[in-house]
Amino acid sequence: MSFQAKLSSGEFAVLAEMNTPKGIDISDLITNIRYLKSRIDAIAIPDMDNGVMHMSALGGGALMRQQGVEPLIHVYGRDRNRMALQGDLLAAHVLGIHNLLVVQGEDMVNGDHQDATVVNDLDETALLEMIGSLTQGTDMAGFELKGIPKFTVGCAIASIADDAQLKREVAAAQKKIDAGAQYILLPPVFDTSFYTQMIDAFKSLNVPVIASVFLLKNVGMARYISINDPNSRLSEDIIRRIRKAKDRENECIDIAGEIIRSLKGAAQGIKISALGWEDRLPAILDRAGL
Amino acid sequence: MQNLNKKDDKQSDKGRVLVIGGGVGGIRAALDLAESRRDVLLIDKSYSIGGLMTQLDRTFPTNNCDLCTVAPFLSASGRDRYLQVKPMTRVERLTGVAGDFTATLVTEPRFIDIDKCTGCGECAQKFPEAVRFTPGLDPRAPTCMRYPQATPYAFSIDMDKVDDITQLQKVCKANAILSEDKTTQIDINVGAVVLSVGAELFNPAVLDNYGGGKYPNVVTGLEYERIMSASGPFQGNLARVSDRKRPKKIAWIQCVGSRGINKGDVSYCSGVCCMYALKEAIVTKERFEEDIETTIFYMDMRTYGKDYERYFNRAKDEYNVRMIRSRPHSIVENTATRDLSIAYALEEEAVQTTEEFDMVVLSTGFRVGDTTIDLASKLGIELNEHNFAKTDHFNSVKTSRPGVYVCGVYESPKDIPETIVQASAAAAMAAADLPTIPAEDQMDDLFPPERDVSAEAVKIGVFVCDCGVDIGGVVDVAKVIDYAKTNTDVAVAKAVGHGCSADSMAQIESLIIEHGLNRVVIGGCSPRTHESKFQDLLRRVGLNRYLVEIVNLRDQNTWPHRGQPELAQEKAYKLLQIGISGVRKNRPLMDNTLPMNQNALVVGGGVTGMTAALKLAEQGIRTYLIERAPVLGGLAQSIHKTIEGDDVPVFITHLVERVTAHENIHVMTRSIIVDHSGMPGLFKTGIHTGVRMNYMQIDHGVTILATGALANRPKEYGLDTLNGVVTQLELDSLLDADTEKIAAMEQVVMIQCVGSREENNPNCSRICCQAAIKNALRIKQINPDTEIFVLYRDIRTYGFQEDYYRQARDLGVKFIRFSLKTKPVVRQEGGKLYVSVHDFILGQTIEIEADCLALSTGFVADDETTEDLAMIFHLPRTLDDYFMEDHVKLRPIDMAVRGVFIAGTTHSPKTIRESITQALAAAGRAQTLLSKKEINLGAAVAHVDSNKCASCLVCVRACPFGIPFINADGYSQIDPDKCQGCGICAADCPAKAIQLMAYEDDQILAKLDGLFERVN
Repeated sequence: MSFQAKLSSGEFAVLAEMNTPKGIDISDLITNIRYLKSRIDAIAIPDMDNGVMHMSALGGGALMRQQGVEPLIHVYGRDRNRMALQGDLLAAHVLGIHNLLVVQGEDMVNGDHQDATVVNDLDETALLEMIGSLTQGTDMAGFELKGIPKFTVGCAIASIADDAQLKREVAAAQKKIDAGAQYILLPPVFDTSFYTQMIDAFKSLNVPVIASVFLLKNVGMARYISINDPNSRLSEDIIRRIRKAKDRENECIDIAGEIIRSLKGAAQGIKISALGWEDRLPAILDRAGL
Repeated sequence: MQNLNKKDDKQSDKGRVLVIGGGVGGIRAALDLAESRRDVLLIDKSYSIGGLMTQLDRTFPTNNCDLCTVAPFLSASGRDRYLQVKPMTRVERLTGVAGDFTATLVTEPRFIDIDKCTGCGECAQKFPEAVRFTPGLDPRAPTCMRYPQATPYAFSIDMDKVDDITQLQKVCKANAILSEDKTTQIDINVGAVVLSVGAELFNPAVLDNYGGGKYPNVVTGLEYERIMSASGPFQGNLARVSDRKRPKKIAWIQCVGSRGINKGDVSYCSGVCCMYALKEAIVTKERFEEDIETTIFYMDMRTYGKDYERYFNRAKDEYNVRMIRSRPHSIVENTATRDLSIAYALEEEAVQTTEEFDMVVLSTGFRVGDTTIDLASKLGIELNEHNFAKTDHFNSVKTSRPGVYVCGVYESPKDIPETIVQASAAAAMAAADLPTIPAEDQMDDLFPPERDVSAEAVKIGVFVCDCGVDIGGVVDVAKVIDYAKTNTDVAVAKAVGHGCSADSMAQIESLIIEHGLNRVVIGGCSPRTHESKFQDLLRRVGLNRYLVEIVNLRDQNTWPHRGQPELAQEKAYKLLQIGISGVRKNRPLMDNTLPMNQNALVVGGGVTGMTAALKLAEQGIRTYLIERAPVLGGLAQSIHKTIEGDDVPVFITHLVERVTAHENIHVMTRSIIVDHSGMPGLFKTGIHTGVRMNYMQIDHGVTILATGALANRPKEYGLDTLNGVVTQLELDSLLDADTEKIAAMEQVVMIQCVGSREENNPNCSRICCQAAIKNALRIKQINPDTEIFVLYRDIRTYGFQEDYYRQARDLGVKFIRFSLKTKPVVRQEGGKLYVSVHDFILGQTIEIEADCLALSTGFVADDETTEDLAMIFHLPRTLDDYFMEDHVKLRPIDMAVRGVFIAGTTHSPKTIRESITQALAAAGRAQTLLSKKEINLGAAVAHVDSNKCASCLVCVRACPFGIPFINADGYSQIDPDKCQGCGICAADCPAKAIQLMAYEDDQILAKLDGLFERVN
């Protein structure tokens, strides 16, 4: 069943995130997919939205298709103008990439090419509208397309500090849905009761809501997130739990698995990121019972 | 000795560094430079190198033998091709500029041809007269060699003491004694100079109250070391000088000649005497008799170094060393018994007491001698008020003359680890003044081509050491030699004394060549420490390095079986036979090599990390600097002034600018390390950046950890609960931001050791005494009328910091001592703070009203981070969660994992200046490794015989590193570049298809045959 079919049938969808290499050595990518492809619905391929130059998501998505896995790629307006964006999306469809996620590009200050020229021709909403237009058969200039592409397109939600912001984000998401978003991807949160509350709030928009989880790797990383990303609600208890564990890496995999388990009832899907440790993805799926 | 008389063929080489002074610091600096493939000339005014450390008995805090610890350094200096040693040499003049100096060197006559001298000692035995008693109680012969590991291994003659040179010459079988020898003078070209001339020890004879130099049983700390030392005057037997009887009651008097204002005193603290007195007291109890009573008279116990406070606690609690806080008035000798009576007064008692002792040790400190002052003027460097080398406030090795660097005691009083750190730092600074090494010079083979021995019949040479008395004192080495000769293929068997000494090595080399030997067995000490040395020897004579077997007769026989010489003799035969039988099967093997990654990873972007990164980058090394905070700067960002009055924010801003702008430095802020793999020279580390957790892996050859420590903040004395209670760091900020508020303060109280030197953080935080005094002086500067009370346990203003302590007292800052049992109590009433404390001098509790209470909270290790990194990098930590270096004394920067170095407060608490020194040192040490360009993986790797392999997968599953795989040809393949040589697969392989090279089955079996063939 395709990712799109899973969403419309209301079944639980599983996405695993994979990054393309900085370079042309795709061997790790291919190896990791081999152990995953029967267990997930699609591979989510970020583009260079984090500001670090690597192989484009378009290439990565095409590669997934070659490997027999359904791809989902990130789209954003920071690096490309409307010409390049439209052209690449047409290419994407032809190469078998039919799932899109519209995201916001990271500030270049945090990337590895800080002097790169920022384009920002289209923002998220304009991008969603442009995609909607393409799937209607016209480009942004109003010219008709020869053959009409089809996409399942979603939008990403910013991290949420409190109830007030939750309300604002739900309202913002409504606008994105009006602009054409067909599903919502939530940012990762470690407090599952708050996360469930968040999911319920977005469910009121009547589109599928997909939750995110990522793999903690060690105490240092957990501490960094707890200090610098308070919206992820990573508690002292989790840090203590990792510190106390005999096998810390295993404990981190357990934590990811447990979070997925507890969100399975609330969300309509999960996106799992291992952030470079993709060889641990099968173990996370094991712990999550997926 | 092979390098000693080598022609000065590189005299015009600006790429050379001149190291002046062959003590432990000078040797370290020279070795660091030589390991980095830089030419070094090491000169020393003495006839052999080694300096002060070779005269010590044991080293704190490990209580290891000093000489054994430093000896491998000495011999290493004798064999390195980049290093030339010139003993009995001094500098007369230094002209030119950094990068292009001309040094005029004068070498005194030795009257011995060091190429001929075998160090046999005949001359010293025949002419032991003219015995001198200083320094260090050694009876000296006119021909003098102090200890068997001397480098160079040759005697020297004091011509003033010789009446008839021909008589002396007759004694020498080697014809090495020269009747005429003259002073020589040469000019050489060098790029940089490292000064490591140390200091002299204070001669207590100038003081009239302690009887130093007058009463025989009053000795200095160094003389006491010599008395205890196995190479000392009493052969390691603790005895009184007057009657050679074992003393029962010994006293140490601290600060003799130091921290004083009287005639002959210096004002500074010598920094090392507290620890050496504690060490001498502990070793006395440990090695001699438990019931020897040891007492230390002291003013402040200054155990401020890494883990030194624990050592102090052990001395008190485990060894019952008696501690008396008093500076004794005088010593009177009983002329009949030669016992000594010490008169002293206790702090809390007005009357003076006297107490009898058998022996008194005066803890004398460092003094700069006249020759050193003279040398400074010849080198054109400025001195400080105490005649030590004046150095930069933010770079402790930089003298006033560019291109001239200093390390060790000559910079300021310090102990061995800090000397080593400065030595490596000075070497790193000096290397930067030299031209870069041309690429073609980097890969030349040092050894002659190997001889093919495959067709030769086995011809074994057996060489057995006596290791002084360590082996020879237990087993009869001559009989062991006779035994070895019973093997028909043993062509040569010989006793070689200290086999590792330069002359024995030379002798073994010539015997190998003369007899055409093709296998060698060394009966000596541990292969762990000495195998590579003998492997190099084989390579020098054209043999493959794997044709030698080391038989550990010492660690595994004479040491454990000291009390059973007959059985030890038997065991020596057996062990030697194992070696002989085994070596027959040894084959030449090729070492596997990989190119070394030339990048460096520096973890931590504080002052330490930035300094290290900058130093590496300046040497052309691409450096990744990882910092978890959004900006560089670290803890030093919260400090405004140093005690010397320098502006820290300006310094840091400038440093950050240079680091950020450098093209070889890749700064990654908001980044943390999540994984690490590889081997020294080829590491791979995974890093996450930002809240988006961007993951990337970087490849690097070396790692420097500079993750720092945390400012401690214990909830004590009302910190964070009472108004007006601040830390010294906060007071430092206030001093910078709001001088009016400071000026309005009438009374300020400071409490020292808050959260340090207590059960949960037992060590001293080192920086707090100077921080408190720094802030007190700044308050006094703003408002001289502000009353300041410093409540302390011991004031630890080591070295020249003592001057600021004195200045504070002169300005009226009041210092009131408390103990753990009488800790101050703080209360707040009507918005005012009141601190009460027991005053030992007044004998009552006093209460002080305070406008501000500043707590000296010091450092605490960043437990969570060091624990995480220790797991990721597989590194050990100390009990209080700092990283633990490989050797507390001699390898204070290197970690046990090769290629990983530590610097700054992640090692132990230290000041900014000290952190910078260690950062430079770490950068220097990292460069010694990177200069190698290739990683030698050794030859001990698993090898699969494809004909025997059944592809059963046992090895694939057994390998803990996941290296074996079944290849396209259907058999197991083990990549020699990745194999760790553990041998597990070789043991598990059911088809015996896997052999571990250098430990092959036939070799092991031959050794077993050797062990059992003579057992009846």
